[in-house]
Parts: sequence; C-alpha cells; structure tokens
Amino acid sequence: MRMSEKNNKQNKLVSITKNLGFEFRTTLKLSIKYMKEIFRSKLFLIIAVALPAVLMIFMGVIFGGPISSVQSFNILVINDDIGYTNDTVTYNFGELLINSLEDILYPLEEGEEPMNLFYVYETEVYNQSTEDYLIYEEHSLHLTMLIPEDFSEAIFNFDSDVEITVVGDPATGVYQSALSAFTTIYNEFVDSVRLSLGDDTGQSIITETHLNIVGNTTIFDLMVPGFVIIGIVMNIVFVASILAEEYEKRTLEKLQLTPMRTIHLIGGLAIAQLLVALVQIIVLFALSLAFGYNAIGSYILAGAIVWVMSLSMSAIGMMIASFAKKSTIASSISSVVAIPLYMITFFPVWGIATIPMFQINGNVFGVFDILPTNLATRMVNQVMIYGQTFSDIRFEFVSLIIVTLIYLTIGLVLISLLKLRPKKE
Amino acid sequence: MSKTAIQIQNLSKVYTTNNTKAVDSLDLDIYKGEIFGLLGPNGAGKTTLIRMLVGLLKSSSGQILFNGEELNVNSSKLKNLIGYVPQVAAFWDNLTVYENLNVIGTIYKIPSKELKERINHLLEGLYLTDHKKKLASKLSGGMQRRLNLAMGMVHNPQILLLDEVFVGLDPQTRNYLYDYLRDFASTKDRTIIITSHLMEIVDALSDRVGILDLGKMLATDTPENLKNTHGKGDILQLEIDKEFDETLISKIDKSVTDITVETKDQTISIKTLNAISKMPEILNVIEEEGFTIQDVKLTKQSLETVFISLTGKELRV
Repeated sequence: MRMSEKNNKQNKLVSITKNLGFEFRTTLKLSIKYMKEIFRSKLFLIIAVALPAVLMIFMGVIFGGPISSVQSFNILVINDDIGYTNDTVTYNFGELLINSLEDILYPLEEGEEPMNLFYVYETEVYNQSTEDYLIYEEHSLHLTMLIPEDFSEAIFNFDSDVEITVVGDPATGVYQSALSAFTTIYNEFVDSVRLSLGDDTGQSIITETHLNIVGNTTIFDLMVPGFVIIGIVMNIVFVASILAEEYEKRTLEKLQLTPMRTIHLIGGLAIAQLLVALVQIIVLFALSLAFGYNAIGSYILAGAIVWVMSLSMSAIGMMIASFAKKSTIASSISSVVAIPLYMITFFPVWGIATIPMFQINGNVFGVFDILPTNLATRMVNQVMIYGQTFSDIRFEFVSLIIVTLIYLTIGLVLISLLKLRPKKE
Repeated sequence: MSKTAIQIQNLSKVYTTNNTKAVDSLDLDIYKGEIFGLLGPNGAGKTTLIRMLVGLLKSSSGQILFNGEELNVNSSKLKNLIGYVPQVAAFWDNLTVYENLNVIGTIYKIPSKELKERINHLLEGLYLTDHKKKLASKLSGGMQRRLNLAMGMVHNPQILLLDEVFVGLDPQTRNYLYDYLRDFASTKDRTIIITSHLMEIVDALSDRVGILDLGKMLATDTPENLKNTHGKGDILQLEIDKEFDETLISKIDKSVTDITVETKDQTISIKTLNAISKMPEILNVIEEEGFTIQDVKLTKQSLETVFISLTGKELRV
C-alpha cells in the first residue's frame, strides 16, 4: 500500500515536471518563432536598430551647441566679493554683475512685455546639499554662481585673469543654456568694465564645477540614454504590428485552436522582445561609445534598466494590438503612442519639473513616472553621468519593475479578452 | 461508446450587428469514420457553422456534443480532438514550411522525435519535402494551401474540418488530396467535415452530404439517395431526322415508365432517373415508328441539380 502511494506520488511528480517542461517548451517555441520573424524582417532592422543608430551617429557628429528651450534662467548667487578701493572710491563689481544680470530684459514676441533673462537669488552660504536638493528635486535653479572675494580686485588688476566659478547640473540641458547665456554676458561685462577703466588685456575666465560629475559632460552624453531608449520604444511598433498581423492573417486563430494559453503567447513574445532589446542595447551603447560617450557609470546596470523597460514597451504593444484589426493600424497607433514616450526621454535634458504623485521614505514618485521611459531615462542618466550605483536608484528600479508588471498584466488581460476568446460576431 | 462524433442540437447563430440568422435551429449528427460534405451557397451559414464547431465563434443558442460530451472551447481535450483547415490559408510568412509545422506541433505537445516523423510524413504526403526549407511566403499558391492543410493535420486530429480546401489546387494535387483524405478518414474512425462549392468532389468524397441554405439544413443523406430523392433525374436529349407529332411522344410515354417528355423542334428531351438503363427501350420505340436518331446527348444527374432543386438557385461561389 505504502509502495503504491509512493509510486503514485512519484508518477504525479514526473507528470508535473513533464507538463512544466511542455509549458516552457511552448513559450520558448513561440519566442523563437517571434525572434525569427522579427530578425527576418527588414522593417525591424530599419526601425529598431538602423534608425536610432543613425540618429545617434548624427547627433554624435554634429551636436555641439546647448539647448535653449527655457526663456528665463534662475541663478543662485553667492557674492563673496569684498570690493576694491581705488582713490577713496570703493567698487564692488560683484554687485554690479548681479545688477547687470537682473537688468537684462528681452522681448519674447513683438508686442509682448519684455522678460527678465535671469532671475537672481542671493544667498550668503554655499551649501552643496542645498544645491543638490534645489537642482535635482525642484529644478528651480538652473545655475549657481560663486563670486570670489577678490573679484573686484582682479578686475582692477589688469594683468590678472578674472575668475568666477559656476556650479550646475549638466544633466539638465537648461544648465547648458543658462551657462551659454551667462558666459556671453559675463565676458561682455568684464570687457566693458575693464575698457571703462582703461585696459582690456586680462581674460575673463569661468570655472565650471559640475555637481557629482567627473569629467566633461556634453549635450550628446545627455542624449545617449534617450537614443538607446528610442530604439527600445520602437519595439512597441513591432510587438503591436506582429500581434495585429497574427490576427489579420488569421494565424492567431490557428494558435487559438491549439492548447496554447494567453500566457504562452505573451511570454513568448516578451522573451523574443527581450532578446531583440538586448541586441539593440548592445549595438546602441557600442555606437555611443564609438562617438565619445563620456559615461562613468555601469553599462550593465544601465543596460538592465533599459532591458526591464523594454518589457513595458512589449506590454504597450500588446495593449494596442488588442484593439487593432490590421497591422497597419496597429503600427500607426503605436507610432503615435511612441512619440510622447520618446519625447519624455528628453525631460531630464529639458529640465522639466517633477510633479509628485506620492512619496515613500522620502522618495518621490512623480506623475510622469507612470511612463516607464521617464523612469528609465532618469535612472540611466543617474547611473551613466553621475556614476550612481544600484543602491542609489533602488526606489526607481523597483518602481520601474512594478510599473512594468502592471503594464504587462493589462496587456495580457486585453489580449485574452479581445483577441483570444471565441468571437461573438 | 457513442457512434456520433458530433451532435449538433438546436444550434443557432444570430449576428446582432445586422440582425442576420446565419444558423437557424440546426440539428445534425455526424458519425465517427464518415466524411460529411457540407454544401451551400455563399451566406448559407457553412463557415459560421464550422467556426462554431471549432470554438472560434460563440453560438447564440444550442449545444454541440463531441463524442457525446459537451466540451469547453478552451479545453485541451477539444483542441486535441479537432483539426481545422480554414478557407484562407493562414501561416507565418517569415517561417519556413518546416518551421510553421514545427511551431504548431510543439504547441500540441507532440514529443520532438515523433513530431519530426509526423512532419516529414505530412511533407512527403503533400509533396512539400523539397520545399521544407523555403519561407512560406515564397511558396506557390497551391503549395501554400497544402501547407495550410498540413498545419491543421499535424496533431493527427480525430475530427478534421476542412473549409473550401480544394479551391486553387491544380487537378493533380486535388486528386492526390482526395486520396489522402480518404485514407485519413479510413483509419482510426476519423471524421472529416468538408465544405466545398466543387460539387463533384463533395459527391465523390463524401459518405453523406448536407445541404445548407439560409442557416437551415434542407437535406442530409448519402449523395446517391439525395440524387434519387431530390434530383429531377438524368436528361436524355434525342435529335430526330424529321418532324414528328404527338403520336410518337405518347408511344414513348406509354412504353417507358417514370419519365417526363418534352419537345422542341426536332429534339425530344426525356427526364428520368437512371436514363442509361432506359435508353434501349426509348430508342426501340423511336425506330419502330420509323424515325432515325441523328444525335444523342445525356446529362447525368448531379448534386448540383439536387442543390438547385432544393435551394431553387444556382450555386453561388
């Protein structure tokens, strides 16, 4: 009796193992099918790899200038200038510089009220952590200027260079824009003051201090995560059109007649998409390296972030496919959906403010964080530009996984309800 | 053990979008081991019926039993039992012939070695072995239809539903497929349901035929019985050498039983079942009356005439 019970248990175990093997085999077979279909499609190579690669090369070669998308810049000034007395007259050129900055107005459009180019906030103590907070969390400050105590003296001393320190976050393109505008004005200021004093031999120098930065970050560096992510965002188009094509060409019906379950289909497609994304990530990061990407962080961590994000792109593709009856419609809709997701990848570059949704242990989850591209771009920038590690971005990474799982669940439910059930009409 | 493979009980399908009753309170038994031909004009409800049988379409009311059991459309029992070959060839363009079959077979959980053997057997049988490494999109139309067929059969289903599979096939392939299906049905009590507008194929292949129109089954029987019961018989047309009068017609009518005679100019048209057997008798009467036959034309009874007789219209394809 005991022997037979033992045999029954063993048989059950063998049967479960065998079934699990078959389940996995089904998912794997479908993923291989999708991979073959994707890699044999010229459209895939063009949209998912060639297009972002060409963009990357193009931007890598020609992108040199800063982005000027913000019309007014917020500057924090710490004026340590003690002034300089000459012939009983005391000059404080630090104060004069601040006043000059405050007085610069420019009209936006003809007939509109002129606007300040700079809004200047003054403080007496420079505090790195305050700076971090203001720049990273609020994005209210675009640039910090430290005027040294010998600033006025240096202007009077015609042989010496006039040096000023500027602190900022190059991960925001606004900083680059603010710096560009400030540099022009600062140079003009020093030149004109010295000229009025009778000399213009010395040079005006701006020393840049990047927050948490090692090395020189370029605009291209800031855009690399965006370009890698664009390639992956394009996978929405693939997943949506592949699934819609299955429906349109009635191969989905063929699968529907087999013992395949929705999870096999979704799993197979997701695995295929993950492998495709891996190829894209490798190719695009390799290209970025070839064009001088100054990354200091871990490529593996950045790749992992993008890889996880790619799953959510599969899910969005599935959602679109569940409503589309033709692959052309699916690809059109997904292109429309991909554009805002793609634009969001440049939010950090534009310095768009975070709108908090909720907070956990001091970690803010913003409204735009429900879009995985936003989370992923921010994390990749943090990793690649600031050299942050997994522990620094743990909250965002977990958020990305949760958001992705939610997207996948919605995709699975929609496909199951709208495409894999017996039709009513 | 039930002898019926499929029992359709009071099955209806109403399309709410255009308020059309595609299948109307249908009752039908299809037996194990038989080839059942389903005839009907476009819009008769054939494809709707087939799609309900395979679980792709929800019925509005009624019941379908397989081997005496009502099966859930998602049950693997039903899915393993049934094979469906749709009218429109469906396959993955960017996969080879072998890969297409391999994907389907794997999902049916056929062990690898056995699947390989089955695929090779099917490919050989359907003359696709030389093309197994070709992408499906590169195949000719006929080959694509054969691949479509193989994909519906790779799991050796007990019940095979074929929707217009003979369309677009060259005569050689059509004949081959004809033999293949006969062979397929003859083993292990397999059941085949076939819809086609090619009546001669349905006539020759089917053990029983059902004629469906406007969602209703007008008649179900063996092709021979349908022809005898519902057909108007063969038509024998005889062209006579000179003008004749009513005397000749009434003599033919009296001498030969179960015939309908009509005349036009110098031609006598006789409608009767099994005209060949009555021909010597008819010819004798004509010659005895001193007439000579110049031309004979025999139009055999066919399912098409049964179809027209039942539906009152030509088959719309």
